[in-house]
Amino acid sequence: MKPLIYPLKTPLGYYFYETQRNEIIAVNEGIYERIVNWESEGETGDVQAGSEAALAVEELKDLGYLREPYIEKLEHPATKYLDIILERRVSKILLQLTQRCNLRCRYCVYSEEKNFGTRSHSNKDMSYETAKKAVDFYMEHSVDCEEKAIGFYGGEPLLQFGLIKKIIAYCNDVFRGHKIIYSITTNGTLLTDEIMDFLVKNQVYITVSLDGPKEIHDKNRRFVNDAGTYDAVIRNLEKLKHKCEDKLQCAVNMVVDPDNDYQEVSNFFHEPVLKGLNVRWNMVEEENEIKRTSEQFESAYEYQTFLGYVRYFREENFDAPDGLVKGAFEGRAISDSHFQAFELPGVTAPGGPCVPGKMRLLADCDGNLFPCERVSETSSCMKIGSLDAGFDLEKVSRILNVSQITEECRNCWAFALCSVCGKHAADGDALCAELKRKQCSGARGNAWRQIADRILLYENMAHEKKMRKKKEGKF
Amino acid sequence: MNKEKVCIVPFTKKEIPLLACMPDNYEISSVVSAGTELEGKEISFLTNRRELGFTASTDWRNGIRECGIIIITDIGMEKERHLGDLLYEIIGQALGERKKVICFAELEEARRREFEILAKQNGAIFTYACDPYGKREKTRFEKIRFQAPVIYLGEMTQECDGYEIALKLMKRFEQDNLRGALISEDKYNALYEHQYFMQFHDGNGLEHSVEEVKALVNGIEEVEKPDVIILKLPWPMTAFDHNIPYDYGVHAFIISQAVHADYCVYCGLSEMLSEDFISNINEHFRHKFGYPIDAFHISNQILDVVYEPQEKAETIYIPMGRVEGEARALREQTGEPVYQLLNENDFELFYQGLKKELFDFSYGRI
Repeated sequence: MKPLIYPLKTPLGYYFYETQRNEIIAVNEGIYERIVNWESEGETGDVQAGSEAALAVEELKDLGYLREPYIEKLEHPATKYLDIILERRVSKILLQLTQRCNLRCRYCVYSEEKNFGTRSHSNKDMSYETAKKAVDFYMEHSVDCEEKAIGFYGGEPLLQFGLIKKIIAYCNDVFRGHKIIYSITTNGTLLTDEIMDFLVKNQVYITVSLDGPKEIHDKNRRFVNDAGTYDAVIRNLEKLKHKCEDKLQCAVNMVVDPDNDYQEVSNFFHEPVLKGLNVRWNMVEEENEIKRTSEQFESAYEYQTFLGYVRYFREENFDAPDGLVKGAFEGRAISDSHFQAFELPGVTAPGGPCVPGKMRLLADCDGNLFPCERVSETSSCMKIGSLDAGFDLEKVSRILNVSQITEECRNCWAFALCSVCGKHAADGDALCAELKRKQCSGARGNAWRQIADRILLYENMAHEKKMRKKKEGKF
Repeated sequence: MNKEKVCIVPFTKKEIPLLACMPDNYEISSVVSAGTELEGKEISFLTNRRELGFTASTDWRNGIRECGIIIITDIGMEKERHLGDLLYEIIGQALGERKKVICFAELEEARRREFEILAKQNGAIFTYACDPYGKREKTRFEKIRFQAPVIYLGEMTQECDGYEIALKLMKRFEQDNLRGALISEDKYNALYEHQYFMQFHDGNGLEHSVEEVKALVNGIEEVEKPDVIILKLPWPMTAFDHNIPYDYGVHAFIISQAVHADYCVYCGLSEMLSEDFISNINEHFRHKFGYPIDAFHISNQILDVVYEPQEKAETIYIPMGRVEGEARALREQTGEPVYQLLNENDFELFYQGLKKELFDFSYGRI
């Protein structure tokens, strides 16, 4: 049987990625060819038993590589302690303070225009009683968390500023002695001096949504009366930046539409208003999926990533050339967490799912609980409990073990690097295997990119070492 | 014995060992938490263990009124900031009521002086117990032979119950009329006789801190003539993983070269509960430190797998009963010395084994 590996070659070398050890191995051309032709040649193959490649393959096998798939059962390792994890270590709670919003963004998941069935705009607000109950629930379920994290979410949460003030006062009382991290995601149009002063004073991390230059931002982000919001957001952001001593308290989130010109979006990162701020971005979603990128966008992105690596190795003062690639590139180049070697046990699960409700538990206006803010609130299979009834552990377990609906996962080379979770399979009251499978090619693409980036990094390093030796006159 | 009533504030899980092993002349009258999250709850809730017999309150004014001594707990400067002025208000109030304040919290110099003056004015006592034992001006590098057996207590991650076990051991030795001495980085040692707060990471260089340990052990031996010395090692004994290296066990290694261990207790997380793990770590210890592990303590914690970089391993407390049962089963199946040392039966079993190993010789060279 073919081992669970993914072979790759570049102009400079040959490699394979070993799924069950999460390692990338550099090999010579002979071994590579043998691995690629594994099925057609059979394990002993046409290659002479004593050939160099065959011997090397045997050696790799002795070292524990090139193994056949041996995952016996798909079960997430956290399943055993699920009850205790959710009883004691919910890291963050997001309070959906309102479902109202003063904007009608064209891609918004709440909007009538692009409602993909995940949720809808309504006039619902969270009451103080529900908010208090949510904080109490979080308090009861986070005893093992040294830091407490509370996020304000909407709709537009600043429509409920009075409630925010009351919640913060309550939390300061309840969690006194702990580091409390407050955060808010806002469209930035309602930020008055009073609100800004309050948020800054209480060290609330503020993320303002800003999609790019005026033409791009205003295309989607519009007031109810259809007027663009760019000018209001920029004005408030300037003021906010001025008020925040710690610039990291204030961040900008860009929703990037790949139909726009790459350079135009990318140049926006250099705008003075964004200087010193933490700017994050994500791709606009369509029908619960990330919108496909245009060829122009994709190739520009790839090229800028490549330039990033080149700069990283050639220049002393590294600064990513482009805001769009900066975050992802720095993550991979400097602190790569994807390729920590391990050995997959016989009972395990693909890399995608986190424990639903543990990282970013969302309490909606009515006190229903969801794994995070990204899931469909209208799919009942994603409702994992309520403030009154607590967690529905059976449902949580089903979402955590979403891989069990697609048993073929155990034979997929991208198993450990997979990013598909229950969110992608939500279909009304059940998790749907077909919906989940739709994500597979994208997930494998991401896994491939991670491996390719890692190899690029490795080859650049090797090249740089050679160049240095050459410079120093050592050969 | 007339016991003095003690109020502990602000209480966190770090102070649980004090509840279990308070000095004989003290009696805890209240445990006060800063936030309302613990209000009315049994303290055992903090570490998911069996009831300890103490309920938390937030009424610090009442706590002060009802006691003679206020213990201000060991909180760092950063944590102090999250308390606002609460800490200063509590100390001020206690000194105003002429109570004795033992302060383990780190205070700024000016604040500390302010409280010392206030105590003097009110005829109260303010003890700042935040400094380690006095260091010698010059480090003597010398060869010392120790007479009393030395027990190493090491941990796999921070807070694997090591301090509570050390205190329990000290108490148990006392019951058997054995004189113990404990050296560790825990400031609360100042509450007990024969216990020493030693700061291993004082910026003076590794070799100096190691020499200090050696000199301290020697000094204690010469003056106190203990029957046994417990050395709770600073920091975890090995790197936890790629992301959390701690100090790679460098301090533990160098100390192990300076002071020979006669017995080693290793405290770890529940993930250790497998024969493979036990035999691998034992092998690793033999190679790295030159001695095996004589007893394993399995804490009722599991590792919390998080995806952001961390400075220390984050854990989740699982019910004590689960770990006790699994530790017992592993011990019985494999014969490995695996215990849950917060469980009284396990502790006694472990203690008798340790005593036999260290003190009950049928023959020996003199």
